[in-house]
Amino acid sequence: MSVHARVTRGSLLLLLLAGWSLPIWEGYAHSEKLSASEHQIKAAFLYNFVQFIEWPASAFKDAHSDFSLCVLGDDPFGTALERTIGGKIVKGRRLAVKRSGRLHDLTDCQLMFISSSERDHLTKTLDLLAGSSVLTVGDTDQFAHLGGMINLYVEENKVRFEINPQAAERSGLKISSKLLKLAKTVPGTSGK
Amino acid sequence: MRRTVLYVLLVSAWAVTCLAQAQGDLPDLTKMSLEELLELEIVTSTRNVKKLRDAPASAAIITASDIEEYGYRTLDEALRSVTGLYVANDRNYTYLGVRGFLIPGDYSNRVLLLIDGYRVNDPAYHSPTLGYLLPVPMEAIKQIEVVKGPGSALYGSDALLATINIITKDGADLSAAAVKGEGGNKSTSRSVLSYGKKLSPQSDFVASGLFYQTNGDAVVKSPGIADIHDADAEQSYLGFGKFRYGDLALSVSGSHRSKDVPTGSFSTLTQKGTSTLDEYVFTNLRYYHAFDSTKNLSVSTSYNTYDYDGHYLIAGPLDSRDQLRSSWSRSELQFQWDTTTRNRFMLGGAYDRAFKVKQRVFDAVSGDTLNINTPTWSWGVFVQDQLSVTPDLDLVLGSRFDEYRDSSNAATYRAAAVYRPVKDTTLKLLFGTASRAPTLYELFYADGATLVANPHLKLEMITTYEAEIVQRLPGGIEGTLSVYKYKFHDLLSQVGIGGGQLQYQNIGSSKAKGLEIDFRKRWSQGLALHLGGIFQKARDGNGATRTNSPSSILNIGVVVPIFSKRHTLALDLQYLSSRKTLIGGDTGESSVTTVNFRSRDVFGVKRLDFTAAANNLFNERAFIPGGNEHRQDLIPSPTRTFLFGLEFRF
Repeated sequence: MSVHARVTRGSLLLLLLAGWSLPIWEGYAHSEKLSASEHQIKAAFLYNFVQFIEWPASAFKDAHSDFSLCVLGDDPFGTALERTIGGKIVKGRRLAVKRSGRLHDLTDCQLMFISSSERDHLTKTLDLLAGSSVLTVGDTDQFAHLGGMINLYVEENKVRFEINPQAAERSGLKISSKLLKLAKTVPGTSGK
Repeated sequence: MRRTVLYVLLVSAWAVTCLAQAQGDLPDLTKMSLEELLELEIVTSTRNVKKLRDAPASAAIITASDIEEYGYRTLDEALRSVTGLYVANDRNYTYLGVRGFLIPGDYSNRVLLLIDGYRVNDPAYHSPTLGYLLPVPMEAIKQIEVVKGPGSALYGSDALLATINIITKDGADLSAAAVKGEGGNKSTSRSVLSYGKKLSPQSDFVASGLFYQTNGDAVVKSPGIADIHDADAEQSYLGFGKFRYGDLALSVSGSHRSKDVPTGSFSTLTQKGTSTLDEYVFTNLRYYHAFDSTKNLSVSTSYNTYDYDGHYLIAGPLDSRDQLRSSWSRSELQFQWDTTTRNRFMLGGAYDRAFKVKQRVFDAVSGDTLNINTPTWSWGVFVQDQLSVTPDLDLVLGSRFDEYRDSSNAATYRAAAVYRPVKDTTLKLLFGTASRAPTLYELFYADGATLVANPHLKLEMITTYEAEIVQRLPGGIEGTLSVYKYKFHDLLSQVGIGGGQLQYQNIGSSKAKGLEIDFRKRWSQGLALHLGGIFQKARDGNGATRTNSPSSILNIGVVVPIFSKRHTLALDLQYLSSRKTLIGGDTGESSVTTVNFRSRDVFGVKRLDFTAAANNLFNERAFIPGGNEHRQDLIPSPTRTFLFGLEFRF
């Protein structure tokens, strides 16, 4: 090892120890984490969608009932859903997460995330939910084209979303213009 | 040994201070706005922070859509599009140059290549697998991450000039089978078969294979030596498969390539008859477990082989044979912990063992000139900590210690500061050191004629300083400006020792400084533009310009949608200024232009794509400098190649 390299090494080690032993600043709002897993990000999107969409009062059982976020099929989020948004208060209601592989087990849902495991009977599922004030969200190719309301997809390593506004309108949901502006819009299918 | 103990103590002390900051508060993504969420990059690799513009390194990413649009058919074609990188093809192998360094005879051993995080460089030459030696078809690559500058503080030996990590596609990315066939002039054919499927939420399978064949140029005309006919053929088959079940992933890959050598290299006859054959097999088993969103562990073990056979036509029918038989394993462990939302701590280690590295030189008359087996081992440990001092300032400190079989060792460091004074500006200050252990080829290879062994070689080191500004310009253009200064110590290089003999020696220092500038924009209609340039000076110990070191390189990349995004025409151009050759001549300026046309859903058939491409579109006669093993000072680059292809997915 050359003298130069040894000097560099010594001074770096000192810097290392000094710098890292300093007390760390406290009390600032840390607004930005550098990166997150795909499903952590997707879970945060679900939370945001709820903020920017208006449900009709009839979508809830009563004024005190939870806001139910339901996952139909295999849950791709793992623990990301609870960890990212579980227990939050949205629209003055407690956010509850429900999961099932069968649609009729999931009652009183305001947001239905339809897992890609349901891809084979997606059209049928969406038909059953149509007109019922349930926001349908998925991350399956063609989800919005087939009548789903919001589809999350990955482009250039970032999570993006596309909206089918007609599908949401038919269910009495009001999507804010801000959300529409950030989304790619997908024309609704005719019929349903 | 005492130094080692001291080092381990100091680093442990540091590790403890980092861990002492553990507070366990989780990142709150729900506090982020939609706009911020849309900008957030997804983590795929565990060692890198993935928001590219804020990465604590000079980094570039080549995505699957870049590969498709520009029609990159080999890794080096894709890498050439990264500002500061250039390639040389000596008609036998392909070499990668970075920021003015492409040292003849180095087999690119200062560039580390990883596939899904596992090391590809072999124990004999420390070469990355470029060209059709890469065991993964380009069609099966999700992303190529290129980090310029030293990476030894994370990855150990060989990561001096650049670290390249290839992320392969998962079954879920393909969700189908794909068949692709391409054909063109010079009897060139290239076929790829891929299949991938997410079998269940727990399991995923993907496999992809490629067959490539070309006759190459019918005549290779090098200045100063006789024309060589019908000796440029190449044939390669390669493939990879990956199966994931829960936290476990198994991948198997390999490549087999034969190439005729039309240069009369290594004092062979200037006619057909000299060829090389290379074969790699990699097997890697990885366990990745995320304990929660803040802690994850990755453990992997691999078993790999690399065999090489050279047939060198010396005189008449005499065939001098050159052989390598090698097998090695590598076990790695890495733990990452976000101790707070502001602090990410990483700790890891690796143990490498080469069971067999047999180098042999022989012919029918003299028998064995060289026949040695030099098994070897090495181990290394690293720690890295990334701290967000304020929301606008990140600091990274990392260090690694490696020890090798001859008990030589290396400590390497990196330090980075990333500062965002305003929303659209990122400033980076980067410092790094890296080392490379001499390869077993450099140490022990002797062919009894030209190359003489040198078992007393030392490690070589590089120290680098770099400053970079990433600026989002009006109109959504992403601009990057970097300046850097590199210094090599004990640089290993082939040196003439009289009597026409060559030996690898630690010949002292080499310095380089340069400026890189890069602009990128992608319009939503599918139009994309990339402009890049590097202006650099790389000097050897005597202050003379290095060989094969262009003082400027310009890159232009354009993707133009035709009528709709369904049809795209892409153009990729690289200009290199004149490079000095080994005997002091120059190559003259050169440029290479590649075009690729792609049309989706052709002939009214859904999922049927048509491609047409031309490599060296204007059929320019360009040269690269020959190495010590070559008779000629200038080696001509391949002439124009056309390829037409169809791809069908079902």
